[in-house]
Amino acid sequence: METGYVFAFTTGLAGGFGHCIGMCGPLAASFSVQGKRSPPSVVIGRQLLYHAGRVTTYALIGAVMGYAGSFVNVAGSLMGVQNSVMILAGVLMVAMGLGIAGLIGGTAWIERHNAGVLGAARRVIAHPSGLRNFPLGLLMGLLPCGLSYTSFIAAAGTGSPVSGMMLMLAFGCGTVPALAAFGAAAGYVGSRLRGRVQQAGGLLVLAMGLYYIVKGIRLYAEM
Amino acid sequence: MARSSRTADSFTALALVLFLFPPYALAAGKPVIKADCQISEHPCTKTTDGLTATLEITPRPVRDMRELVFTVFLSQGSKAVTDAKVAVDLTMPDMIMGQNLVRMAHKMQGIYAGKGVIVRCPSGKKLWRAEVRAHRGKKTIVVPFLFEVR
Repeated sequence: METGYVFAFTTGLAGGFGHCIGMCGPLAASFSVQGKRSPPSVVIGRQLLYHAGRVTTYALIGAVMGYAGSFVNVAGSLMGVQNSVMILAGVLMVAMGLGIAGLIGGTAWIERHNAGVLGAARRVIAHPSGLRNFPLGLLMGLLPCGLSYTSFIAAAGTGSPVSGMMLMLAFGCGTVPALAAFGAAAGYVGSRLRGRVQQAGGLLVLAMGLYYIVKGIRLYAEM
Repeated sequence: MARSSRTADSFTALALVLFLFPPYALAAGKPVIKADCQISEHPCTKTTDGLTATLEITPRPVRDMRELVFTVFLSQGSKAVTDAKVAVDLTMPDMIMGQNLVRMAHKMQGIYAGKGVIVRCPSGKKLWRAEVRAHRGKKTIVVPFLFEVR
């Protein structure tokens, strides 16, 4: 079984660079780009908290898959939640993109005009503590992801909650280096941004957020 | 001085685009890979190195996130191949999806079967590659099929 954990870790490690950066990189990067300039150690710390939350969710789902022994049954009931999370992630990114691009004059505009979902998003984003990234990671660990689905199949195949959890923990830890480095690098680039370039970055995050929303709605339609 | 600052900003903007959207930026100009097997309509047959493999996936139409039965019939010339270790390796041509291997058991007269799941890629891509891997002695023959799920 230890070989399985090593394989899951290397799958996460390779997939992190080849898959996760493309699918979830913009999301991880947007957490770094938004807000005030921070020293690299703070940016990296926030990234690690976010990924700790994400990996915790993977491990918990892995335990459920291992307990149930069935990927199809568990994934079937998870899908609705995951699609909602994708839409929520999109909304978060739209809010962040608008803020970064300076199109809404800071987050007060969101609060004034959107007391509901965007207001909640603003409260999460604008919370002074970097610790907010952990619950954010817990939530974003529920994002629908083909690579993690494949690992969940392996977790279900273990037939044990502990083994399923350990396998997903190994897989999740493997995905951290690529995404954390990507997010931190984007934060460094973000801290150097000025004027129009910052606006461009904000618009890119905004566009990616809209992409997530459209994809989330489409996935609902396919259910 | 102002010009070099503008150049630096342009490079930063370009770096940001590549950082944020690497697959979308790099996807342009890639050759388009198309399905060569209508697996939702009928079984598909291909021959590699003298080994003929017929792949069938049920229930049809083939959908992702469902439990599927993979059936492979192997033959060499007019003879059924009954002594191979067979697995079906599921990958996406355009996306790293981790190893998803369906292990097949020999049922009868060159027919091998196993259960598996084709996972969903939230990018919306539907094209999958199923490689039938037949191990006989020290030799492994790979027969690839490209198809779309619904």
